Amino acid sequence: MGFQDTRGNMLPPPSGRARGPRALLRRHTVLVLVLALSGLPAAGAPPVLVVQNEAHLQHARALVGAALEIGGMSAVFVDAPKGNERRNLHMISAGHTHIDMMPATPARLRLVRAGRLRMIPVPLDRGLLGYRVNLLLASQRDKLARVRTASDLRGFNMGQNIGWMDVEIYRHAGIPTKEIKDWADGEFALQMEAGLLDLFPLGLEETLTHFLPHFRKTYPQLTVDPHLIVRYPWFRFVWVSPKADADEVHAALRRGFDRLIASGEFLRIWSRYRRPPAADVLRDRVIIDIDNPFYGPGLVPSAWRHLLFRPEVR
Amino acid sequence: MTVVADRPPLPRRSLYQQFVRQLLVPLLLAFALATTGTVLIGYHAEQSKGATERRKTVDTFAQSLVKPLWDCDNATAQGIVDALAHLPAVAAARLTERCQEQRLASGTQMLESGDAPRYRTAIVYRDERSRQFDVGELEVQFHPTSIITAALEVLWRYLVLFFALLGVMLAGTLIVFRRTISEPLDRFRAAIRTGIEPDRSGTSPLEQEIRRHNDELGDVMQAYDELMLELTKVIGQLRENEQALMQTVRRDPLTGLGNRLVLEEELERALRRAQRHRKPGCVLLIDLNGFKPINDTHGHAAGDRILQETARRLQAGVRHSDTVVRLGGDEFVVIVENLHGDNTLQALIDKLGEAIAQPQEYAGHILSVGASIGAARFPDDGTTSAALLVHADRAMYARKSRR
Repeated sequence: MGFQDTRGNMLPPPSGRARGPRALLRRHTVLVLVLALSGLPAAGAPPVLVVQNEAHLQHARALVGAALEIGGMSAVFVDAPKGNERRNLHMISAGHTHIDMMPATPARLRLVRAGRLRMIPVPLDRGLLGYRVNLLLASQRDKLARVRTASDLRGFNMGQNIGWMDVEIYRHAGIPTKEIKDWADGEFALQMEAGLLDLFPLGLEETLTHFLPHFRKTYPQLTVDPHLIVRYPWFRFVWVSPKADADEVHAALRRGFDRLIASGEFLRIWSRYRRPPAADVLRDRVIIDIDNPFYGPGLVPSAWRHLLFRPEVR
Repeated sequence: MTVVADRPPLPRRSLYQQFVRQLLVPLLLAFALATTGTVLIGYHAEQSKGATERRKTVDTFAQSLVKPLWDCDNATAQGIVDALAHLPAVAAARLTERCQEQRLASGTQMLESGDAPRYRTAIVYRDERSRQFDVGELEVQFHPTSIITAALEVLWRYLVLFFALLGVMLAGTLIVFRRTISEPLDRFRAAIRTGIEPDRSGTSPLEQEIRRHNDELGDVMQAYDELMLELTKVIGQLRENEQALMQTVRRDPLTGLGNRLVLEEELERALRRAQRHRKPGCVLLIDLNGFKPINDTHGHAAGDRILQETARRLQAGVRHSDTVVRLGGDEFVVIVENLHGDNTLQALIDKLGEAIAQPQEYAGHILSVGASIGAARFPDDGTTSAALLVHADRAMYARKSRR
């Protein structure tokens, strides 16, 4: 028998031990979970976990759910409140959120080292987060046609949002990068037209499926560069609250992901939600690898590293 | 003995000035009372309003802090706290944020005690599922409300209002005063000067003004009008009495002829007319002969009768323009103007002598008197009444002695 989380997603049938919901909630939190709790039986009910949930994280959430189940824990998911990275980090390190699925950042790694956050380094995006394509003006569509190395990119001005980790990565590679304040609707197109920016790199998948159509509603002069992909190590992992009430969750996830990956179930679930980039997208583009100054591919355990997408071996 | 000190005359002040001066004191008193009451009420209202505004300010800034605090954006939060602390009413602001457990403060040192109003509010983020998250706490300390500040805040408005009202009131009063008092008084004064005599319409200007004012001023003027009418009557009566008295003084009561006073006046006038028109005249002094025996024999009544008849005959014997007076006793004077030639004078003397000599009947007796008439011509015989009378008197005695 399966059960549903609060968003209506089907989860595998529960198994293993269950903890009372009150034990999992911090006493001092002001989270109001009355709605969630009122529908649950008082005793023997699966625990309620506050889990990050965003539209682009369906695959990650399904994988987490599956891992918990296989790891021996049945739970009800309640969506964590939406916030920026700093809020997410605070919520999970303070124990208000039990699980989130965010890219590994220096701040998160510092918290992990400080024992204030737990990391399960399973590459939920299979490393595709590190595949970046450039948005640029359609009139300058082929300005990267001759770029072959990172050094070649140093002649261009890149734009990134303030505070993004990518800024440090590009700068570390010697590529001049400007931080801008508003990017969400493609406002950087105006700065491109003013000659202040040349490129605005974003994730490969999200650019092709979402950002480009979205930006072009307001700035039809934007397009995607057809010649280049910049790649660096950037992984979306599973993060678990450091609080004691999440110990069992952490353990169950460790066990569950081991089993999911070993059985190949991980890739099967992943494939239900995500697809690798189309062959034609990659075929005509030069891939330039640059280093991430904060971590390398070694952050992913070797047993799980095969999950990383490698177009060269596809 | 009472000595009345000479007081200097009071400086002239118009009714309007007096009205305004007397009105000003109660007005200022009313203003002071109203202002005091209003300031007290205003102070309490200001306090209540201030509390509401402070609460509103705190709530507004707390609301504006929700998003930055939810985003753990302490830089923005600090900016908002700084902006809050820069508000004139705010002494200090302190924000305790939960994300990084930092305390952001701005303004002066937050006082833990004292009468400065202090507000504290929790900042709560409500997500799309209506879950509430405590993201911080905002404490704001305001400057205490001063009664002087509150009073001044209220007072200057009332001062402006008071002076505006005072100005309007004085101007309005001036206009009303002019229309209802000054101008009617001016018209009354003009009407009084014009007089109380009726004009062609049959009413005097004063009566016309009184009819236009059915009010206290009209009453005063009505009383004045009645007083004036009464006064006119009295004056008329006095004039009549004076005229009667003058008549009595100037007339001989026995004969009804003018007396010496009339002689003096009429002779002076006749002299002036004669000089002006170059037409001579004469003065005839007439003394009755044989009058005393009649008086002694037949009594004074008979004598009086002789004198009365003689007077009548003299008046009948001269022109209306000529004057006959009785000097006293049995002496008469006739002033004749426009006399032409000696013959005419002599004829007149003869005519009058004959008229006087005509016998008279009295109580069954026939009585007769004669007359000695002396004449003096003017201006030939004199240019003053005294000189003429002296001349006529001599002529008369000369004639009497020739008898």
